Amino acid sequence: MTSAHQHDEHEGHDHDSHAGHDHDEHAGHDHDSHAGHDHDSHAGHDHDSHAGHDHDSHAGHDHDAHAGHDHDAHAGHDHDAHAGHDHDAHAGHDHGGHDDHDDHSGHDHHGHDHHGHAHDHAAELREASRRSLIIAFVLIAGFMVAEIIGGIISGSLALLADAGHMATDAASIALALLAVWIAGRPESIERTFGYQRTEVLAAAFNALSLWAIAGWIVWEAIERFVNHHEVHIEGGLMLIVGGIGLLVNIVAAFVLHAGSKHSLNVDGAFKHVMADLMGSVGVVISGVIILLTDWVLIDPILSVGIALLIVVSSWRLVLRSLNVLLGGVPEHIDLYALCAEIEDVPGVTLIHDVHVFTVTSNFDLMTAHILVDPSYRGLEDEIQRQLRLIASERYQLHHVTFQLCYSAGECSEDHHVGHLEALSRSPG
Amino acid sequence: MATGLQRQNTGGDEEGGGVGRRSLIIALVLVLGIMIAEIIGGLLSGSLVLLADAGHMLATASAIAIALFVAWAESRPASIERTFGYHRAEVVGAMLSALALWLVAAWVLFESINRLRDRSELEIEGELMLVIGAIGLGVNVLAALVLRWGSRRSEKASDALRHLIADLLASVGVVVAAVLVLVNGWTVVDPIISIGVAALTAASSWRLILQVFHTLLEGTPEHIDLYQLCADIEDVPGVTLIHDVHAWSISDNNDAFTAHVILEAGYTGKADELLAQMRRIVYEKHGVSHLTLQFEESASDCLEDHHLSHLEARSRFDG
Repeated sequence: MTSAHQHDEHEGHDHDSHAGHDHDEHAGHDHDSHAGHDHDSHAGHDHDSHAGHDHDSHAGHDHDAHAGHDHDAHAGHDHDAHAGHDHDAHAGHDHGGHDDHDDHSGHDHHGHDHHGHAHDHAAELREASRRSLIIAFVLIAGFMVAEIIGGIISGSLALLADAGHMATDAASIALALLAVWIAGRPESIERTFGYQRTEVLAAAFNALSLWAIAGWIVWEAIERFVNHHEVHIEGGLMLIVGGIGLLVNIVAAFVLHAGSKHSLNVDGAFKHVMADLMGSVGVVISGVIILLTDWVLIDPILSVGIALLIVVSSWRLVLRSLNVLLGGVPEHIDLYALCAEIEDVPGVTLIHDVHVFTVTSNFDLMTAHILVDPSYRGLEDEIQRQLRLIASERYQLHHVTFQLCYSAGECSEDHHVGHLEALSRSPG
Repeated sequence: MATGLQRQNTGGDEEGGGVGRRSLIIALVLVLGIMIAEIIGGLLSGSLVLLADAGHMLATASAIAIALFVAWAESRPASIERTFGYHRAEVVGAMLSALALWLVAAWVLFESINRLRDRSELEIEGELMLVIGAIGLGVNVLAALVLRWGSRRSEKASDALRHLIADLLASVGVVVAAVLVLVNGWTVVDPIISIGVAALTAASSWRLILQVFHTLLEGTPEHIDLYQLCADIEDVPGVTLIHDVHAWSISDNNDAFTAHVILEAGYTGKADELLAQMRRIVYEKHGVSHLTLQFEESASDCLEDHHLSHLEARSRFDG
């Protein structure tokens, strides 16, 4: 309902009043229609959906509506209207802009309400992560406690050893949960991004600890290989425990799988569960083989194989989380294409000092300095609006800061990535 | 002006980096050599404290290796995949080495508890332990001197120096343990001092960890008074409000500041002059090297979800 409402408003607005006013002048009339538009559609939209408070459908609405509106309305509007209007209009615009200062403060507040959307979306994803992590934690910790009790009663070392595996899983999930909890704390003047990075740190820690675990498994396997006669392997009990552990891990992995795609943090916990799942498969297989053939060496051999699998499966997570911590460009963003699109915006001469990095999953940030054709002076807000649409709608960047300048000579930052320069360095 | 300062800094770093690099390499070779000797000696003599000290040496060696890598990485240009260059490698490297320290400390702790519980197998060749411990102490003193010489000009070498002082303590512990084993036959001392070495290993990384976390959380660099910076920008004529403020540290001496600045209507055409003024404030008064300011007539178009209005932040702090 709200999406349809907004869609109409926007389309109508862009095609008629926007195109119309551009050709005339930027006087009061422009600001009236703008003000009217913002107040009605946005305020109305916010209140409707918030009252409904339907989290899931809310997210869907926003994104559909936005995406739809941009591609339709913009394609038509920008290219026509701009070419014509810039050269006529801007002389008068500077002065026309003055009148509406009062309106602006009004805008601000609505603007801030509106920001809720993107934030809600990230918060929803975080909430979804939290829920799946809690379910997985309860499952695994519950089974672990059962194993410990069973192990103590029966005196089975196999049970206690498997409880140890479960404990590392439970710890990794608990760490991920802790990170989600800390990440939700508010930002402050000392931490302007809040604690959101803790999620990435937890992911990196979980990924690296998997490597440590893999190393330890190999170490143990070598020990068992050397003194295999000392080790008592309870084939039958191992099989049962491994089988149940496998089931628990499969369920937990299933619960975490969806979240692992959009959150590095959940992915860290997921990889731990997967590692343990592989471990359980190994236990079951070696249990069967030992029962059938008494070939005890299969156990350390399989262990080494599993350790290798763990390292391979967590390899990408390590790279991705380290990439985030190193301030690298997120994988899903083609920075060259993004820069090219920005340079295609009318009035933009060159983009430089480009930085794109990830604060935490689903929160990417971009800053850039943009050189603007001086004949577009006074149209900064329009240019900014288009830049922001490209960044936030097409590239899902959640936070952008574009500095418009008319000459790069004043720019004295020390690290410049002109994307053109970067292009010449990259192959092809 | 600011550019000049920046260049001076960079120039100074390069010069210091050269001297620092040589001493880092010497120290690395020394530390790795004694580390291998300690591992072999530890296995042969049955002394845990030698192994614990070797772990400590490994941590030191990795810290030095990281410092060397950083010196190399920082000379590499930024790329389209890594728009900040490799500056952050330093911080991430420090994080990894701190984690390695904890791992080593945890293993030593685990092993000493094992050995304390089962004291029957505590047989230690005191002579071998003393010889290797003494050599280790000597190498550490030597490496410390080399690094001290280098650290006069390089910040990173001084980090390594701090490590080495902690290493000296550990080596002294090895020698003390060896003497007690030799003279009194108190083999129990070996695992007990090992626990001390492990604690030292973990403790020496604690401050580092705190700093690394602050940087990796993209916290505001300590030397920037963000509230004052925002107030200074809002004092520029034509500025209504500053919001969406972010300041973070890319690496040592390299900070970034971004913000959205709402201008009074009529000032938007004068963006260049305003920018020049603000640049002066940010560069010269606050020493921030990288700046991106977005000017806007109103915040209504702003789709960003994270707003840190500094006024709001102030009320949280003053109130």
